[in-house]
Amino acid sequence: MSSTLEIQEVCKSFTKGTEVLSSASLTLRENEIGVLIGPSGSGKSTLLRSIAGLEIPDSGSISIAGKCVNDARTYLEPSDRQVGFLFQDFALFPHLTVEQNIRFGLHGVDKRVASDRVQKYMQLCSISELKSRYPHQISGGQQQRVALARALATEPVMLLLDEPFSNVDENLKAQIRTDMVELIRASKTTALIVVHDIEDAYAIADKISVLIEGRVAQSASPEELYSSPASSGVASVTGEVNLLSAKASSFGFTCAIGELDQPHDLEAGQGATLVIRPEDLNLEKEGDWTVEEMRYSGIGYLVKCINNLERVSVFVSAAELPAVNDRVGFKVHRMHWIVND
Amino acid sequence: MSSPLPTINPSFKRLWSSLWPYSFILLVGLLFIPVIGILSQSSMAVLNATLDVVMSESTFNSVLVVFLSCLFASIFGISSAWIVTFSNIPFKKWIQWLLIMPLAIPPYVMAYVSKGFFDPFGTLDQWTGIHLDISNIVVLSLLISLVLYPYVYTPLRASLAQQSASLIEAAKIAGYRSQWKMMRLILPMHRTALVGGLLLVGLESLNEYGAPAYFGVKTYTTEIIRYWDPMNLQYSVSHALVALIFVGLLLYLESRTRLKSHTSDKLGRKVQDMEASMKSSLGFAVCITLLAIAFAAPVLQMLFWSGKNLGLFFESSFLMTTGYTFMLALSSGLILLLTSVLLSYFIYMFKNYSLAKLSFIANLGYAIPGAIIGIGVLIPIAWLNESTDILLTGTAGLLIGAYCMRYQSVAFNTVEGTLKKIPVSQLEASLSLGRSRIGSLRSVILPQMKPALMGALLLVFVDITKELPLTMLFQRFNQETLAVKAFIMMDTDGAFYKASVPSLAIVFLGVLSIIALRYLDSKDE
Repeated sequence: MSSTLEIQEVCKSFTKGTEVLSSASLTLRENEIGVLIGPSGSGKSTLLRSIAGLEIPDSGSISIAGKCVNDARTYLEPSDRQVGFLFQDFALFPHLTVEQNIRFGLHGVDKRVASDRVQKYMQLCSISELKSRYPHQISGGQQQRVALARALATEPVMLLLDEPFSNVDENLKAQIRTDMVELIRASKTTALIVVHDIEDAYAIADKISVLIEGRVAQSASPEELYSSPASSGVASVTGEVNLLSAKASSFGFTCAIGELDQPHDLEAGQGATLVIRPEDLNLEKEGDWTVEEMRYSGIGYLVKCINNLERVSVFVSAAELPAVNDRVGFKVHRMHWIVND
Repeated sequence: MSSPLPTINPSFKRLWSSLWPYSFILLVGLLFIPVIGILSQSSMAVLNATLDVVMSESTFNSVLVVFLSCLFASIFGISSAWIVTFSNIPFKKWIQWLLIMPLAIPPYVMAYVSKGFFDPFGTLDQWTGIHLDISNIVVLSLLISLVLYPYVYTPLRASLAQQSASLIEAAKIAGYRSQWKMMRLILPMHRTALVGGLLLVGLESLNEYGAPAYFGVKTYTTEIIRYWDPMNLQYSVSHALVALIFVGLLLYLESRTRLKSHTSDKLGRKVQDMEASMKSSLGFAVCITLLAIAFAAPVLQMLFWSGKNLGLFFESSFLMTTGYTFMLALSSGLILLLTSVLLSYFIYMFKNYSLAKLSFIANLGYAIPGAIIGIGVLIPIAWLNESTDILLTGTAGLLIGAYCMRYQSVAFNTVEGTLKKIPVSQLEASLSLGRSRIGSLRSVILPQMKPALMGALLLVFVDITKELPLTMLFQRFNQETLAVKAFIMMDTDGAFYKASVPSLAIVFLGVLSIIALRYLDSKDE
């Protein structure tokens, strides 16, 4: 399949000299839903805004649907890029009704076609009954659907969404998330979504790109990202994880937990970081570790243990729950490793 | 959370490839004409004359008028704002905004009414047989401050209403019982609002032409206009230069006094949510007296005088004058609206660029007295007249241009203040939905600013209607504005009482604009 979005080595710094994007690259195929995630200030929004033409990168190139919209010589105005943008604050026009808001982007389109389109997207987003209301007369969730319908109605080549779940009620979030992804898939639009909660990313993405310090550190499917993060920086944004420094040996790795059997192709003595998820560990009754703290998480407990200054978290069921200050050990049944540079 | 960036950020090169920066610079540059006009005349002779002006009577008078007006205005402004904020007077809601009303009366009208009241054969003389000579500098300043104190009252009241209530309560617990002690604790925290208001009073009293001229007090403004002669610029220009230095000094003093940081706890209760504890009949009496002297009495007096001259309203010359005034005020207002929208939209789109900071120049016009703007515009024109022999002076077009320079800041600040509140995402959404920048301005930004645009138009309209010094410089036979007509009639034997008719018309427009702005404000909330 052809790629809808192609970003190559985009750099951007603001007046104060801090580089927000440093050689960020990313591709997205047709009809794919991509998610951009990363720590605060990693440049997610700047990258998204650069794609829309709301920021101009200092260097690098951006192509949308095979057409270059930005490079050293080209800059296409936001209005000429055929991208839909969903703003964090929705940016609905307060002086226009829901219907007029959706029709706004269809300026210059044949009237009958425009009306049909408005109807179609109001139905798709289930907001037909709100059409003559003003934005301040509808709820936050409804406002978001109006904003989405408005962005979709222009039938853009791709849709960009800036933290769409940050302004919605926590109780409704899961539902809104599901609805939104269904709508985007139904409209067969390629989308890139900035989120800051990894749960959201796993729930909606075909492909997750992790942005760290202005650079795309890894782009992968949710499963791959979870099981094989490319760096400890990536691993730390992919959910609860233990990162243990280790040395390769002939049979496996030596680390704070002990000696772990694990076939690998590293040379003996080479340094590595072990990535071990809390659910990939089992608690043993004996060992050098002390239970420091326990946190209930619904399905089970996350138990934090300490040994010297190393800490390890492990998932346990209520049945195996230790007490604070118990001495414990671990058995690892799955791990991933990252070779240290 | 990613921090939303303040504005669309085209690279510097790309910005300059559009028309926006050029039109911005052109607009800002036009506002600079008067200053250049004045400075172009600073020859050796003018500089010598300038030194003479520094030590002259007009310097003494100007400084004294500004000082006394500020002193009196702060007494009236602070006491009324304090009473309205902290005490529970009857009809508080009404009094609170009626206290702005005196602003509708121009100082020269106030001077005129007072003279008619206290002079021999005046109203007081008719009632009691007593008459007083009030043509002195202290009474002049008092009268100016009576109509200008709302410049202090309005910002101070707004600022006091935002005062944290817990601070007051803490002070009460600590034993601050007297109002006087409380004032000395609280007022310094509202220095920015207070000094900002006083600056306006100072600038306006320096700008005032009608009242001092009417009282025979020589100030910079009266001398600039009295000596104006396109063939012999020395006297006018030297007074203007000294006045400009004085304005600079006032601006400097204001900026030094302004609080660098403003600490207010955004949480917590404000004074405006607090139950006013002090029941004050004295406070009520103070407010009512102030309103009676500064507004009700002069208006009633003028109504009484004009009642005898009702016929004037229908005279064709009066209608012509009104029509001409409206034409001037409306065309200037519309031009100012357009330029304010363009200037502020530029800043809205490109506020990251240092170019946008030039917009402070738009605010200079209001600081510079009208008479100086007047001669600053007339000097280049006089030069044109000399070299091309075209008689341009006095045309309405020039006057409109001069008004625009003087009142740009009034319109600009109102428009920009509202535009700032519209999130940039509105513009960005419009752009990403396929509209151009101008298209977005028309279909997204302007419709959301209708009340502010109306407000700005109204403010400028009223300011121009009562403007005197600038208009005097440009005035031609048979082409008088209401203000000029009123001023000339006041000083003409036999027309004295008739002058109340155009005066009242000006006051009426002012009152109307205050009510309209009040209405727009309440709609905003």
